[in-house]
Formats: sequence, C-alpha cells, structure tokens
Amino acid sequence: MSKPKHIEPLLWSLFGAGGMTIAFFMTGIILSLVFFDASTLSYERMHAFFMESWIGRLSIIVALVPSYWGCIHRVYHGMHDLQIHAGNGIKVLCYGFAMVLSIATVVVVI
Amino acid sequence: MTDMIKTNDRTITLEILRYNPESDEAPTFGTFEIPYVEDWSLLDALEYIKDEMDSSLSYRWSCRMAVCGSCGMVINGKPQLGCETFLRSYYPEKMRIEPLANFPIERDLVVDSSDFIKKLESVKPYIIDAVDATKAAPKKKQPEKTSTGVYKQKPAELGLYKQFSMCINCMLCYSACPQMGLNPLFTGPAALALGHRYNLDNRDQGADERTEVIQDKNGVWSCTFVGYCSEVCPKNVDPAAAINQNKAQGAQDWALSFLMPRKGDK
Amino acid sequence: MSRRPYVRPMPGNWFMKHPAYRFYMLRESSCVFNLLYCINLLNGLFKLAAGPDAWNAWMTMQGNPLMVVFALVTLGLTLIHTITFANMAPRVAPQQVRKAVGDMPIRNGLLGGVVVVNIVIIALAAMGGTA
Repeated sequence: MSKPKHIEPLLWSLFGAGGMTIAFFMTGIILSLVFFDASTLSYERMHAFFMESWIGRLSIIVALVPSYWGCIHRVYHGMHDLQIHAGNGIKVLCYGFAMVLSIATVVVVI
Repeated sequence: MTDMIKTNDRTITLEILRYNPESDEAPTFGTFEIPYVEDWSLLDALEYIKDEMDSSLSYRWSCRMAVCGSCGMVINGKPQLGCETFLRSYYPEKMRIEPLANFPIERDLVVDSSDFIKKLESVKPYIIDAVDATKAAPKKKQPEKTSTGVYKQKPAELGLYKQFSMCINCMLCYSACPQMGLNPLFTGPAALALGHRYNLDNRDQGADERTEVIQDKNGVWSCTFVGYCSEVCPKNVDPAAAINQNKAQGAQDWALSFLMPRKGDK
Repeated sequence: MSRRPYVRPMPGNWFMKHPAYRFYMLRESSCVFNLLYCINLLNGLFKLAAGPDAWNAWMTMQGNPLMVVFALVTLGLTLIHTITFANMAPRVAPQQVRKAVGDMPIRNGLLGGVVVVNIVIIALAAMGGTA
C-alpha cells in the first residue's frame, strides 16, 4: 500500500455513492413530482417530513449530497472526453461547487 | 484455391488504409476488388491481394487461429482479428480496413507497438516470489511448495485470475479505448488487466511493486468505464472489470491509509 | 528504409464515430440532467423552508409543461444510468466476491433494491392524497 499521490480514489468513491443514490432515489422522486401536485404533496406534510423528522432530513441529505458529487465528478471527466483540458482551477471550481451544494443542503434542512 | 477463384465471378470490395512512410505525407484509402470466396477470412483476402495484386501491402499475421494476437485491425470501425473475421459476414457490402486506432502507423496496417510493450513491462507481468519482492515482506500467506519446489495451486485459486490470464496481447482493447486516444500516457486495458492477473495469483507477492503504476493517475484512474475494450476482446478477458476492481481496491487502500497513516509507511 | 510513423489525431467528434461511444456519451450525459434536477430539488428545499406560499409556487413550477419535459428527459436518462450502473456494479466488485456470488445475483439484487426503494418513495408521496 503506497501513500496516496492524488485524491482521485476519494472522488471516485463519492462518484460511486452518487451513482447509487441516483439509481435508488431519483426515479421515485421525479415520478412523484410529475404525478402529484401541491394537494398531495402539501406544505404541511412535506415540511413535517423533510424539515422536522429526523428520518426525512437524513433521507434527503443521503439522496442529494452524494448525487451532487457523483454528477459533478462525471461532468469534470466529461470535459476531458470533449477534449476540454480543464486545469486545476476548473477542478477546484467543480468540486467546490459540489461542496457548496452539499453544505447548503445540510444547512437548509437542519 | 485458384480453381475456386476461377469458377467464381462474384467479387467483394476492400478499402484498405495505405501508408508508405517513404512516399506518403498521410495515409489514404486504396481500393481492391477481389474474388469473393465464402470461406475466406480477411487474412486470406489480404494474402490474395499481396500475392496477386500488390506485393507492397504490409500487415502482420502469424497463427491464423486467434492465438498469436498479431493480426488486429479495425474492420468497418470495429477492432477485430483479421483471422477470425470472414468475408461472408460483410458480403455483398464492402469492407473498410484500417490499422489499429490509437497507435502510430508504421506502414499500411502495421502499427508501432513499442509503447504498448513498455506499458506491459511496467506492470511487472510475472510472478514475484517472496524472495524477489524487494520492497515489502510477504503479506499474503505463502502457498505450500511441492518437494520439487513448485507452488501448489488449487483449481479455485487458478479460477480467480484465469479470465485475466487469457490475454494474447492483440491490442484490440487499446484501439477500442477512447481514453487511450485522449491520454496516450494511459497504461491501458491489457497491461492493467495483466497486472491484476498477477496480483490475484496466490503464488505472487508483488502487488506492492505494481501499485505505483496501477494506482497512478495514468493507471486505472484514467479509465471512465466506457467498457468497449471488454466488448472487442477476442478472449473475454474483460479488462474493464480488472481496471475497475483496482479502482475499488485503490479507494479502499486510500481510506485505510488516511485512517491509519502509519500502515502506509514503508 | 526510413521510419516515419504516422500519428493520427484524435478527432474532436470521436464520440459520434461509433455506436458504443455514442451510447457511452448518452449514459454520461445523464449526469448533467441529474445535476440540474438535484439543484431544482435543493431549490425546493429552500422554498419549503421559506414557507407555504414559496412551496406552493415551487410545486406549481414543477407542473409547468417545460419543467415536465425536463423531468421526463431526466427520468429517461436516470433509467439508462440505473440499468448500466447495475450492469457494471458486479464487475467492480472484488473478484473473490464475484466468483463466490456470481454477477447476475449482484446485478439483480441491486436492481431489486432500486425497484423496492422507488416504490416506497412513490407510495409515501401518494399517502397525502388519501389521508
């Protein structure tokens, strides 16, 4: 086991987790929002679940945070595929954005 | 063979990318209309062209039976072995033959594979015995040796790495991999799969010596799991699986070295 | 005889040149849509925190035909992502595990879990309608 020379293994793990959370949660969420309106997904019920209950708050954090990292990781590598040779500045910007989204998600539900 | 050709007036068109380093600025397609013989492989057709039409046509071949890995070429956009590709799969459409992608063209269908050989060597594709392992003490349990000094290996232990040992170095996977074209420094599918094959061998103690190459940015981390390498592999090696198993292993090692930095010290 | 190896440049549109590459790019394009959709969801959380009026306005926006089209495109790409992810997952698993369990049980187990969790999400969402 050699010392890590780059953090790609960490970013890849987050990407793997994001791939998992998108597969597990997004289909249900998208279908719910397409088919149900505010009478079903009422403010009171949604607020009680996502803003007050622990299970709801935890669920939405688990569903969203790894998804940001997974998507942004793929966007970053997708730029390489499109032969846009992003430097370290763009890399910091990409993953920094994932960090900002993650913090925002945790802050808004707590 | 000539009898067969005489009684047959059907033909098939082959477009072949030609490049003569002594006279051509860049490769261009040459067209050959040859007799269509149902049981000819593409290699038979190339042989016919070289014997009867243009003796300057250059291509590599040897065994004619998908074992040697010499006759890899891109046929109608797909990297394939010339010896196991048959005219009848394409007739009456024309066939378009190019040298393997992502390699410099030496001449016609012959590519320069020296960089590939260097990459193969870089993963130390041989059994590194505990005695030879210079960097670390053995971490795996040493398998038992017979009285003649040969390691014993159970069928299940062989089965673990066998798939990754079937590689014939035909380089089709390098031609199939877009990351290879985007980053020529990428170690590439076949070499990484071969490194993985030795890491999975219970007789081998060399995993630590291979880590630097395998876990490098230009190692497994240059792969984005396009997966086409595994689709074109004539021996079902599945290099994409080998590479991505190493990413998972690398991520686990990374986490461990982060949690227990001391363990990573040498 | 002199050597003068010819290096072919990687075409800028390489991903359009082969069906396998086109499908790869389609698979990868799901990340752009999923990212935008996740940002939409985060926005929804902010609206939920802001109060009933903001939430109802956000819910109305989800019913906007353009938004529905965007959601359905995202849904289609999410399904492609989910299936390719499940197909690839066993190949990333340690070789020892693959040999012991087999690729199909890992893939099918994962897909089964995905189906169950998504049904639970839709069922939970629907509960407000009947209650």
